[in-house]
Amino acid sequence: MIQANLLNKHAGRIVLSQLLVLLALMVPLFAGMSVGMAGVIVSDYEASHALAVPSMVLLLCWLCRADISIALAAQRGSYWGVAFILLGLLMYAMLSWPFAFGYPKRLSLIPLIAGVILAIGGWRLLRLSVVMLLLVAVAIPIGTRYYAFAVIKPETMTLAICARLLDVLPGVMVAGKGLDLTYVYQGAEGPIALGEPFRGASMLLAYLTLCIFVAGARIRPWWQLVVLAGIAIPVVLFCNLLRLFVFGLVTIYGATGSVSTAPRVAATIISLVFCYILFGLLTWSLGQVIVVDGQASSVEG
Amino acid sequence: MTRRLETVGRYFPVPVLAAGIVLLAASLGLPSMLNWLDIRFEKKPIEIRKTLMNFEFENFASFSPVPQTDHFNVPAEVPGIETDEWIHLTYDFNTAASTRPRDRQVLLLLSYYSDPRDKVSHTPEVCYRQAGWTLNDISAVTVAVGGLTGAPVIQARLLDFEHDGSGVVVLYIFVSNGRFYADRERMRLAIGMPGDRHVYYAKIETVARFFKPQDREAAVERCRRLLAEAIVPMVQRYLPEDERARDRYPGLF
Repeated sequence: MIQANLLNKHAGRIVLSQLLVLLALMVPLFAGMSVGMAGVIVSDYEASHALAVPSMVLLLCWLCRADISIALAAQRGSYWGVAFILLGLLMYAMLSWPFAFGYPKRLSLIPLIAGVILAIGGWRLLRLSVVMLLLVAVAIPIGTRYYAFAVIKPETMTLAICARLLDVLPGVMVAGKGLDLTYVYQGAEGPIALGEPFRGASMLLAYLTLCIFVAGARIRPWWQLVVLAGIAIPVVLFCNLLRLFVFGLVTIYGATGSVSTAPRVAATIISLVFCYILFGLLTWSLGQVIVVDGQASSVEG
Repeated sequence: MTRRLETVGRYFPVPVLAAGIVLLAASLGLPSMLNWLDIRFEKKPIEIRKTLMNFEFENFASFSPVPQTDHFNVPAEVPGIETDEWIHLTYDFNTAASTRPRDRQVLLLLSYYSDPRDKVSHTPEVCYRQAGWTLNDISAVTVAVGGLTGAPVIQARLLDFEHDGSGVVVLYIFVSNGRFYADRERMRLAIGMPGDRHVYYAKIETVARFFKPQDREAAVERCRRLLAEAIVPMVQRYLPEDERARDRYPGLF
């Protein structure tokens, strides 16, 4: 039955060509901006998670190909797509003139892409694309000042908690002052995460990207997406804390010196793998829960 | 002809075609239109009436100037201040209960900007942290602009820091084109508003230290009072004249 509703190859090619043509029409609007964004993504490791986003989106498309095919076969494009595109263009125009807000202007890409998807495949396809759109939104480099302002509280808390955790380790004394953490261990002293621009709130968007990808690897009901969105925030904050803690551990016990990249590499790898496993487990656990008569209950197997 | 249209319709259904037309029109026309608007309505800088260096000769009812101190080690943003018009002054609160200078002093930081391409100056909640200050809280307080009939009550941003074992409160506002703002992004929006041919903004910031939690309120009050009194000479003698601001705040501008 499902096979009968799948889109045939020819129709699939038509949809793909429509998508490419409409996206190509957006190039003159975003070409300059894209070059700037690419520069940031390549040079700033806080934005480097964006490098993985195209592969993630393609992989999600592949994983959801049957659903996408059914959605395209079952529904035609919607005129609401044009409304979304107009909204995106209005946002783009207003944030170019009279106002000049770089990051929100870059975000106008999202309603435009959503409008293109809606015009081609209707609401069902847009619903399937929400996770991919979120990935694109998270990949858009956020302005340093917006980020710095947004992370004030989590960064302050993370630095304070991490200082306390490291301080209880045997023979280690750690003190925090503003954004700096300094340690004393076996007569040696030094800074932790020296030179990191956001040492208490680094790679938050990388963890978030990973969470979105894990959540989107399967088609889920809305309630699960809402629950996962709620879970993702503490997971992201916890992985951030873990990252700084590991950074501190390797710096202190590894006696790596303040200019070594080893603590950063170790902390990054460990925290990313931990984030993937933790969120994967939570997502899997949620998958074991079904809604029966409006009540969530756990099922065996 | 009909067959051709059918073929086009198959490849590009009406919603897709409509989306394509809108995107094509936008790609062709929008960048040049925005560019034209930008040039046509370009805003110009406007000079400050009197250099802020003269501010040290201003008298306040509740404060007396004190010789330059270490500014409580305030990072003061000087390297990244991005303007030549700025001054940092220290004042003594005349009616303070304590006789110790550290419980009486308030720092006043003023800066003026008038480049339309400015992205709005650095704000203490972001910049001071990089100098080793720990930000504990951000809140808002109201400030009744000092001693004028019908003077406005404005909202200012209050920051609670910890630095070198003491508490520090920072209170600041922006004044831009005759309006007051406590929020940087709201002011950026206001700067972009079409209509004004010139653009300027100034930041008025006060900083006070306290060493015991129970002294925090007194420190906030010192900051609030100095801010309220400093606004008056700032807008009346330093910031550019503005007819509309005069209507908006009679007696102040």
